[in-house]
Amino acid sequence: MSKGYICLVLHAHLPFVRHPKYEHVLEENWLYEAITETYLPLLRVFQSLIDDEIPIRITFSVSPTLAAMLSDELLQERFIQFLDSQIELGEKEIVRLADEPEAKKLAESYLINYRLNKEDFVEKYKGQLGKVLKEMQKEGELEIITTSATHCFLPLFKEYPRAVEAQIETAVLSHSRSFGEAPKGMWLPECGFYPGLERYLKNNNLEYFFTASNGILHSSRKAKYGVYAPLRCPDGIHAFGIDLKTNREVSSGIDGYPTDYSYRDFKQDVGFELEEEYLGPFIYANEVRGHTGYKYYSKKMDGSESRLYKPEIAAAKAEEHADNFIYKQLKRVNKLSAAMDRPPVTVCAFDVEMFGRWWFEGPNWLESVLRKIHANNSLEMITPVTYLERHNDNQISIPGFSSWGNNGYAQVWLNSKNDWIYRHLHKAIERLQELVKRYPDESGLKEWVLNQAAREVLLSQASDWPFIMKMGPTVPYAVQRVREHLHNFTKIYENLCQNTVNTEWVTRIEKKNNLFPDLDYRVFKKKS
Amino acid sequence: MIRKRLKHFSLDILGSIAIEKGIKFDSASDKDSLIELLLEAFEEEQIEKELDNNESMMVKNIKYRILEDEELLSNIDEEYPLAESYNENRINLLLRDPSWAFAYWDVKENDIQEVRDSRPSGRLFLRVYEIKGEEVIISQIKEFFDIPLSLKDVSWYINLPQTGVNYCIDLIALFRSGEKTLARSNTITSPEVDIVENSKDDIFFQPDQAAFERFRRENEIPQRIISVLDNQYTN
Repeated sequence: MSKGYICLVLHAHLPFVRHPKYEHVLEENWLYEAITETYLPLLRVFQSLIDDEIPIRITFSVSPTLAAMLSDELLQERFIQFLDSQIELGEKEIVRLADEPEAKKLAESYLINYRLNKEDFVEKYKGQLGKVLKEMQKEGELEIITTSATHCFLPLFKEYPRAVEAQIETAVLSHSRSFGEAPKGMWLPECGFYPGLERYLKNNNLEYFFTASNGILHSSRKAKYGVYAPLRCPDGIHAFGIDLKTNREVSSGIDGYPTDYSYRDFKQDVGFELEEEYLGPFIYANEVRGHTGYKYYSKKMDGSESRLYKPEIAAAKAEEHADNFIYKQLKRVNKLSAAMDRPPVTVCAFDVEMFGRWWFEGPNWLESVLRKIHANNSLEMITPVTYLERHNDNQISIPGFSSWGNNGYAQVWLNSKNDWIYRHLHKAIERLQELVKRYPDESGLKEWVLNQAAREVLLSQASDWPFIMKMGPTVPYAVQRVREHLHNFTKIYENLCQNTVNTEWVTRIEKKNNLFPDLDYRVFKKKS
Repeated sequence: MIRKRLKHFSLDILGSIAIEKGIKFDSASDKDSLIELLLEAFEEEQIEKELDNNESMMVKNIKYRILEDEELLSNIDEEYPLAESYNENRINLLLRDPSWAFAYWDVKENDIQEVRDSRPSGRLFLRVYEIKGEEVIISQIKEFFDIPLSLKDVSWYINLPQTGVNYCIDLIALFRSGEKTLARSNTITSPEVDIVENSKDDIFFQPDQAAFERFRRENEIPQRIISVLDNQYTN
């Protein structure tokens, strides 16, 4: 048996952004950049490992909103247009950099990558990235789990249990639709947990969830193995705690691996440097400039000149960092295993967009880590389901209120920049529950309208919006989104109070916010 | 980049951006001076945001960075107005962390008017109760304190004096006719910040001595375990 387990969790989430009325909305680039810089490169890494019969065994959380966008035809078409723009720019860059051989070589490598992205997306995957992940799960390579329907920070809705359950139920249903089977685990949005939440997760047949390390350490009974073994809540669901130390070692913005000066700099992109006319589609409305993916410099030390990026040096550094990761895990495991009656499990969890988009060399590092773990007898990649099959006698305790946000609680999602939203979000829930009570068994037109009302309420609850209001950068967009969904819901509510329905308008908003086709407004019904 | 964008705006728009951001400026400022002021404020704001961020929040923030700088749009409120008040008496309490809670409330227009009419003594205030159980009844109240409010206040951050304790809030109006509780909040529990001790299960109080001896022979023993063992043997 291995001395220690590594449970690597990659959490893939983006808020639902879809604007069919406009030719292009900047925030749709969140999806396109994530696909081109992260998801497609990672799928190539996974395929390479599968081809070499190296087990992956990563826990991959896909949010329902992201799954909906990935399967949306309009967004798929627009992504291909985005890729075409990247390819066209690459062809121009090669001409522009004719007299700069090193930079030209970089541009050529990016162009090859983007052409490969298009080939994979269009020919190989037929635009269906969700299906690719589903296949990998079927083959036992990945464990795909879900998160709440619109990635709502659940502790701030604690007083509305039915709304919390609606987020969970809708997520489970949506996941089953996307991936062909119900999820066994849940990534709690922002690891936001409060005692009592575990009941709603268990009610929806989930077997485990992830929580922040301070949730485990402040659990109702002292976690005798800290975060290195899960806790079993009294009703049987398990809580796996993230290892803060490992997370910090990998992803710290001060001295984590991605900050190394040999890695490519995310910020220095030609999109912010070259002439607007040249950049074409990468200049958006109001002369706003965006990322193109053509970045030629290494990370900059303070006060120093920009240095040309050297991929071979960066690749060697990624290899070195993979060795370092393994070394640190072995050292930790050697210390811990003497004090435990089972191999310690180290849960390393990251937002997947770190790999590739921000940390360009991240996918290479990840591939190297998985290969090295496979070659090492002491460490083993494990998913929570496999861990629980092997070790089902776990300490009983309930984690404490916690999150992986700054200072470990709700500060990021509840502060002077965003606290104004909660009176409106909570009111919307109350009014929706009033509608559910008034119309307990509607069908036809009214049911359709009520379902859209429920959809708007769920969309208003996305934690992305208060996060962006606090952190930036697109604060006006985040504010607008919350207001829009609340406005849409309120309009439906007021119309129903007057027994009227504006079908043309509801059709329009349903066509725009077209996720959760199976949503039943009765999911908000109060249980007696 | 942001300087170039700011230069496109008129002095009036720059002024309204400054007001929206809470930046104080001299009304006689010219465009260039106002731009410098705004740039300085944006930079300070950005540094403040980044200092606060742990690694998970920093990575998350980068996910949304598709621009070099923030969009500078104004008048976005016009399209989707929200109610300023729901004209009801209510108060909700949200737990933010072990030391802070956030209360928001609404007051019926009639009651606001009655407070105004009751001046100078008429006022609104919050009464924060520390309670033993879940209910605010005399026998369960351990402590309470009042927070005076202005009629314009609609929310407040409340410093919670103790951890592991239940709190509840009343929104109270003082009319000429007397005190009236307009609304009572839900109860919250401030979480414990210490690790709960339960020595019966704690392996460090009853370590497997044989395992440790074996480990000691094979490896260096981590300092923390040694100090726990030492404490055990010296107590």
